[in-house]
Amino acid sequence: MDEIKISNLQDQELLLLSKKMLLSLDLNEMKTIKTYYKKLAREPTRIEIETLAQTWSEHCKHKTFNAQINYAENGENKKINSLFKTYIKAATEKSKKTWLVSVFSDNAGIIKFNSKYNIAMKAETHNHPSALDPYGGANTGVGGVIRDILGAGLGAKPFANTDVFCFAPHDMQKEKVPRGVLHPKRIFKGVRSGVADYGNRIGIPTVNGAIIFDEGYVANPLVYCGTVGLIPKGMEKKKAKPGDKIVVLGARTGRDGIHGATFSSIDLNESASSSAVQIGNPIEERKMMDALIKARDQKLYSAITDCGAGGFSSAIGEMGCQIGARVDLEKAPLKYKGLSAWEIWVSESQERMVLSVPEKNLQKLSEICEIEGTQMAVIGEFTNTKKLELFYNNELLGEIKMEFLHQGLPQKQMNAKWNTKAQKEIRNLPPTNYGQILKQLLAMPNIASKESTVRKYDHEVGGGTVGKPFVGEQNDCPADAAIVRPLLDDWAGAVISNGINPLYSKLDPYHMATLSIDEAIRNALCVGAHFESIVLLDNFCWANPEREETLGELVRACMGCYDASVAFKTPFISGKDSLYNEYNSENSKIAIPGTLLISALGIITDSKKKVSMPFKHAANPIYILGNTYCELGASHFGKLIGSTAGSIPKVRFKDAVKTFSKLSALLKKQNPNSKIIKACHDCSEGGIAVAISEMAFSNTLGAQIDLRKMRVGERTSREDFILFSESPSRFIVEVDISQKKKFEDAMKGVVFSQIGTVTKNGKLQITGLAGTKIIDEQISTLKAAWKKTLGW
Amino acid sequence: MRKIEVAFSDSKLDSVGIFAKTDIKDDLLISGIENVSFSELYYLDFELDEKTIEQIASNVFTDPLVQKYSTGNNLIPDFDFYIEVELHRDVTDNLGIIAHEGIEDYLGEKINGEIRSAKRFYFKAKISPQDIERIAKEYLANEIIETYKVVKSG
Repeated sequence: MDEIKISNLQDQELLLLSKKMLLSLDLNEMKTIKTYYKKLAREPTRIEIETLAQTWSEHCKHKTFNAQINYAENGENKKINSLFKTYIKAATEKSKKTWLVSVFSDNAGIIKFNSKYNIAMKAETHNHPSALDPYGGANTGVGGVIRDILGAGLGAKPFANTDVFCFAPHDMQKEKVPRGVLHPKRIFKGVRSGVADYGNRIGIPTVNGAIIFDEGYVANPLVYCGTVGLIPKGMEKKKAKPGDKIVVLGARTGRDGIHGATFSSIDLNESASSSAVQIGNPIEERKMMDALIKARDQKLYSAITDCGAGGFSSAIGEMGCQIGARVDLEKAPLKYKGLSAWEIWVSESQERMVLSVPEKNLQKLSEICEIEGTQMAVIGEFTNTKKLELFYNNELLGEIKMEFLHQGLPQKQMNAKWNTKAQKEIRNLPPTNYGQILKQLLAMPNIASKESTVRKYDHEVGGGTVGKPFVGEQNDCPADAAIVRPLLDDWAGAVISNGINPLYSKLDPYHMATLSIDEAIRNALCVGAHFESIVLLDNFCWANPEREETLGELVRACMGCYDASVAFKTPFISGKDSLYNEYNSENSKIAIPGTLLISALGIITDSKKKVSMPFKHAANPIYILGNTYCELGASHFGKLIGSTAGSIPKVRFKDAVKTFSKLSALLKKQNPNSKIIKACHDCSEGGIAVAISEMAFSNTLGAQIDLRKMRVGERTSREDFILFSESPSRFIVEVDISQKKKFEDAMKGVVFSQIGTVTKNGKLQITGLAGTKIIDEQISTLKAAWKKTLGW
Repeated sequence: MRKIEVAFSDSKLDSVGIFAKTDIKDDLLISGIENVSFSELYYLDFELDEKTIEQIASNVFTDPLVQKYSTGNNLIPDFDFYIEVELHRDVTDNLGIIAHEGIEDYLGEKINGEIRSAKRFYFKAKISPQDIERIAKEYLANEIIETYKVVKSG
């Protein structure tokens, strides 16, 4: 056996070994391993050390989210035993929602859909691989999350994908890009091609997404990929049984993606290895998917999981954790010769799934694989030894007790601190040319049209996309959320949206989190999702949490997640974290801003009742729901004028719940053939000025707005504050003129006001607080500004 | 080692070449490029007779309506230099694997040996060697997973 001698190593030597072998284990963890093997009176083997490193990686065990944290907030100390349990899981438990089928225990969260089916959703990140090879990294990000859905319960069938990216500005000066890092525009182009090529080729529509720009992402772009799938009721549970054969189904194993799981716990630096990059093959995954769904329907296997980070080591180790497993590594089909046993064991080659198959079903499974053009191999057996036993040509290479493998990891002890940042006063004078400011805002990359990217994705394949990414008469303006009907004989649809705004993290991650949740829910409500059906997924991307301040920011974000989730009664069903997103070289350290993607999944029982964003008819009244406050801290208007000053927008939960419930109830009740609400759009980046512009230019209509009619939460004479404030929980709504009263009656108790009317003159005209026109712009000019920035 | 090269027969259809020319001008700010033509290459490390290679090239790799192929000389004769990009040997080459499968399907028999794919960009351009290196490193090849070579005409 290939031994790694650790029993006599001193602390420094243990750390050096961890670094040299790319194990990403800290001193405490290395010492735990040393003590364990000392008790066994032997040294660990190479494959055992690799298995422990993979299983105990940040990626697989979420060590930071499960750590014991000493947290100091403004000098007050508090102990947090696991961020995950305290803030995420606790929020879900408190919601007591009866339609949650499986949460946090599987590859994906599962909720009820209709009488026969449930829906599974998962969102993942693929950041480090996308930094090295944008095309391949994004490609395999999509492939990976699709496999998560295939491995949820006994396998859900994917029917929609989502993708959210964070990049540095595409026009960043070359000199500002650190050595060894690809230019942001190259990363952007590579990532979007990678996503398009995988999603389009495998035949799953890409229906929702977002792109955020900030210089902090220059060395660590973020690539979030999500998938939603349909699973028949009763198939949400799985359990590998002793005696079942371990079957690997799909692609062969190669040397690609070695150490991906442990690599994700390391800061990026100037040197990187090709073996950390995975290479995707969507056609292979499609064949595997078709074979799996057939096998699932014939009940040929008792458990399934995907081969993701850590490869076989994570998949088999997890499936056999309660019972035990014996693996014969020489039986794994290989792409080429020359792989050592430990490489086969931890390789992250794509398009593979691991199944637990009763022996009597092997023949039938093999026949399905033959028909679908994919391959399977039996590489071992689940046992009742409570041990993981690894063989190569009958030679025992490693033997680890499942208990130590899964329970042996010591809880991490970490320190975090947060000091509230003093709010700066806004010092700029009000602008004199609001029209110009509005055009500049519309041209800011975060707000500008993303059509050139979204257009590359097939959002129609499958035929169920009823709420499409593009709306408006020229089919080129973005919808707030997507609606997909997974069953073409049922009008019920899954509504998919997202909320993300890392700019707010720079002031307070607590509010960033509540705002992101508010935004994701708002977006889903805009198209008609039922408020009471909405569930959330959390995806945290953060810098190095071993710095107290950085972890303190993460704690704040988790607290925000808890408060918003509980207030809105929208439970988390699944989540993921990607930490250590920073770049270190001799001369520079670049960390990403704390970034939280909230994906919302809701149900619309009759998707004929959906509402879209563009204004529909001239003369219809335009309303705003929700109060506007002077909240310009970290806003896009602030960014435009070079200031982060002002107060950060805050979610006022009580008011927001009222607005959301009443709006949602009305949308649910209205007659699809005579809708009261004709158009609905959320106010977010750029405030009401941007929201109304988008609604106007989507259908080449116009709008006349009077700021004096706005409901403001605090007295102000500043028109720029009202126009560009990013206060959350607000909607711009167009109401059918003949049903005004019905609308106003339905909204009783909500803060709302009619602020203008839809016009047909092709102009956006806004009257200021003094009664004079402060904006009078052709909507064609506004649209041109909005389309130009990213139109390549 | 045998080589099969495939490219579009009409340069108007060569979207990869057209995009490369635009991207190099817009993103790398290198001007002076008259034309870029793209071709796909398949290197076969097993022996087959001339006739079989021809049959494979025309029936497996080429769409005769829009593409042309060569099993010998460079497919695009008029160029100043070309940059050829291929994956490192230890990186999975899916195109090569599928090409191998395609040949086996066509011939109806198993083939021992490997196929590696590559991409070639032919340039009509009078630019400096430094700019050629920049195009290779900053646009065409990702050196973490790929390697490239520059070959001048003549």
